[in-house]
Amino acid sequence: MMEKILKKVFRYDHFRAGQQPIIEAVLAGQDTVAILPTGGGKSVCYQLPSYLQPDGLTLILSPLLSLIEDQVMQIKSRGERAVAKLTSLETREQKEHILHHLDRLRYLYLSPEQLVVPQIKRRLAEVKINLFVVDEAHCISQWGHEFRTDYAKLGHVRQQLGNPPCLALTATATHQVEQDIIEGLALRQPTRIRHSVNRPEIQLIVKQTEQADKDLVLEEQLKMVERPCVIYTTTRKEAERIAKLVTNAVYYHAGLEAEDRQLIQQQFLHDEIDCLVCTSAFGMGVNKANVRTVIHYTMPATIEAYMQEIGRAGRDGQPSTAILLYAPGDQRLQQFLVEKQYAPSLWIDQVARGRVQNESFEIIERRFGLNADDPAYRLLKTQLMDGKTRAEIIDWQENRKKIRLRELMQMINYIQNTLCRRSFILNHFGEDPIIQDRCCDNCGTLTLVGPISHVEQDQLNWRRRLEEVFFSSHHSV
Amino acid sequence: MEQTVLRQVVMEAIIRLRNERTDRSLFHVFQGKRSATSLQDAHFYGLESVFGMLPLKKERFEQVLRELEQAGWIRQEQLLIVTESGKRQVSNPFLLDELGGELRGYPILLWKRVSLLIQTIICLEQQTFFVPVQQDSGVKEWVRKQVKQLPKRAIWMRGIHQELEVAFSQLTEREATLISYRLSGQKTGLSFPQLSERLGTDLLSLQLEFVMAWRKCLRVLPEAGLILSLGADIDQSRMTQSAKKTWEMLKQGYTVQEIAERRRLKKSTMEDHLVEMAMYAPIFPIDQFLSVEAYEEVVIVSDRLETFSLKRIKQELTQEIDYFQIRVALARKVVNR
Repeated sequence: MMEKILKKVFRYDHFRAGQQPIIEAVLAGQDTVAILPTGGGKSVCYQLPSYLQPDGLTLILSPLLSLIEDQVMQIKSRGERAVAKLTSLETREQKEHILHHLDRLRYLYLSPEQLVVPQIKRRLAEVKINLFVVDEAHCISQWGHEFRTDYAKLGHVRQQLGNPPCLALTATATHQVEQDIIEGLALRQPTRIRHSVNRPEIQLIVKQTEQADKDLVLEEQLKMVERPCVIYTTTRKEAERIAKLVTNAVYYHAGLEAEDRQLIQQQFLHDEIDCLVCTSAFGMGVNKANVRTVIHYTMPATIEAYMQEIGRAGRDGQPSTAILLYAPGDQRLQQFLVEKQYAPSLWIDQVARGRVQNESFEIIERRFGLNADDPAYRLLKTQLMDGKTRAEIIDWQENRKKIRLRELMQMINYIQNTLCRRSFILNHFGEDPIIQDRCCDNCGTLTLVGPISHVEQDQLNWRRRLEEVFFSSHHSV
Repeated sequence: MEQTVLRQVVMEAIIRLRNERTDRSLFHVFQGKRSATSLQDAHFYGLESVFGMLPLKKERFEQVLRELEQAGWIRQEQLLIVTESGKRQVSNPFLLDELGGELRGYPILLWKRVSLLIQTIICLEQQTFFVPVQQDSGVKEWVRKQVKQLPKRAIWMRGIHQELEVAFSQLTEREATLISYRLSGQKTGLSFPQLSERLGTDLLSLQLEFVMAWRKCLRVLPEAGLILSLGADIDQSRMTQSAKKTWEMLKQGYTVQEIAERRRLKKSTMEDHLVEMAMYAPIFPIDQFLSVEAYEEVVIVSDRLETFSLKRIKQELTQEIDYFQIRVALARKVVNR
């Protein structure tokens, strides 16, 4: 029965490792924690059971708008219309329409801050919820690299919704984070399914260089690896610069207009272009099975994030390569980004003092010129509204910063470590080391393909192009 | 400084403003702000075609003005002033007249419909997965309905292809290239940054060139053809919704006074609506608002001083004519020419 649905609805012939036990646990109504590597097919685990259950809604909590949009689009593109999303992007009318027609829906995607809106919560409490899915569940852990205050409330909300069965999903979680997930969501005797974070098809390479030589090293590396290739950068500007530098590369970031973004995604999926340069925030939407190489021009902030991002390579299971470029000083940008996510102590003083005098947030914001949309300020505001004192907040923030800088340190350790890189990562996640072929540059068992030539771009010719768009093209796959 | 399409369009717009308006006025016209003042600026100063067609971010807009100033083409005082060397930067015919802003959102909405429908039909025929090139939910819904109604897809596709091929051959090579490489089907269109790289133009200029090419293409497409019929229902009227309501009531025979009371509109709002009608309606009962003599005097003064500045005109008038009447007269002057 499960295979039939898999084939008919999702058009896959076989389950991937780990999917079946998760689906069985969900269908048996058990709370479940599943740790599946990126590219392991997480979405099938919560989307499939719905077709084998009587009427009822599958709620999916996800922290990132781009992820939600991407998922909704994919579900619709396979012909399923009974899906909707409630995020900050929907208008009030759209939200009301959705809430009035919940009975027509199979899947409802929500950002966590929407779930605590009283009106939404009340309406959801009235309908039958088959499954309460928490995607990126590691965000619930204060020890995790992506702790989100909204996530901390999910356990309580689940209770208010009548404790529907819960499936907590994440790609990467240490044992400590896994324990936090179980406690935070109040899971009862959960089925735990942990899949190794190892991606045996990806060989791991780190190239250390001087800042000034980085572009050259990138170009050298690109001569030795297969495409399609994704290059991650930290900033949009850098993405644009690198795209100019690399043959046949195209940049892709949130600064592009919607139509241009769609065009580039489609070109990449159709193998019309073979090198995408994007910021890490934007690589999420890139869902392509045959990516052969992921290159990081600059390091991510954590090993967890790194595993997620290189996980976009080799989803088809074929040999792939991950290369990380590092030049001394690269970590400074990440340190700066960590600092920027928390309110400076001056703000804490100003706002806390205003609150003591019973001033509204609006008045305080205006007086000190605080930007109400700044995430650091929003976090501070939430904490003050939760009744935290100035000392508690400072304490908590210092603690968070320490945790995150420690995580950054681990990333640097990964780069500077001279032993097996794969074992280093496995050890980080509490797993035993593995010996395999095509492992890492430190083990010295790499396979590189050697110089690769690229197809020359066609001359622009509108008559030929028009033919190719409408009828057949000689060049494409 | 190197001349680009973007700079040229901005210079043309500034020249049209005759040293009488500020950078803010220009910005709002570029954005397409539907306020009485901006609508009037667009109408008086011959900027209907660029209305809403250059929605730059504020910072980018200011940067362009700074560049023009540094090149010595304009001066930014209270008002935007064109220098002698600035005047030499443009030549007739003006590029900005090809942008199609007078059709309001029509060319852009039609592009969204046509590009998504073509992509959808081709990919359905080929049974290939595709990323919809347009994300606008209204456009998607419209395409969904069209797809259901379309009887013979293959024939439709050939028809569209032919219409485009014939139309493109009446455009320049560059114009035809710009449009054909934005279309998606079996091949995917290029993004604007990709095209600007291939054609060696800056991004914003290229986007403007595309808009102009598409506008020109709409002129050469067969009037009752497959493509233009896809946009037959798109609203091209320039009047704001609220003014339209007032206009309907006027046509039903209500007096200005009655409409103001029923709709609870302030006198100034009613006047704004009437000026809109004077600007956009083919026929307008001008004698209800000012005498023929008054109208003619406003026109003569405005022509003599070569100005649309209400204040300067009022100072030169011999009769007692209020600002509202001057606005109506100027609006009709433009229509009558």
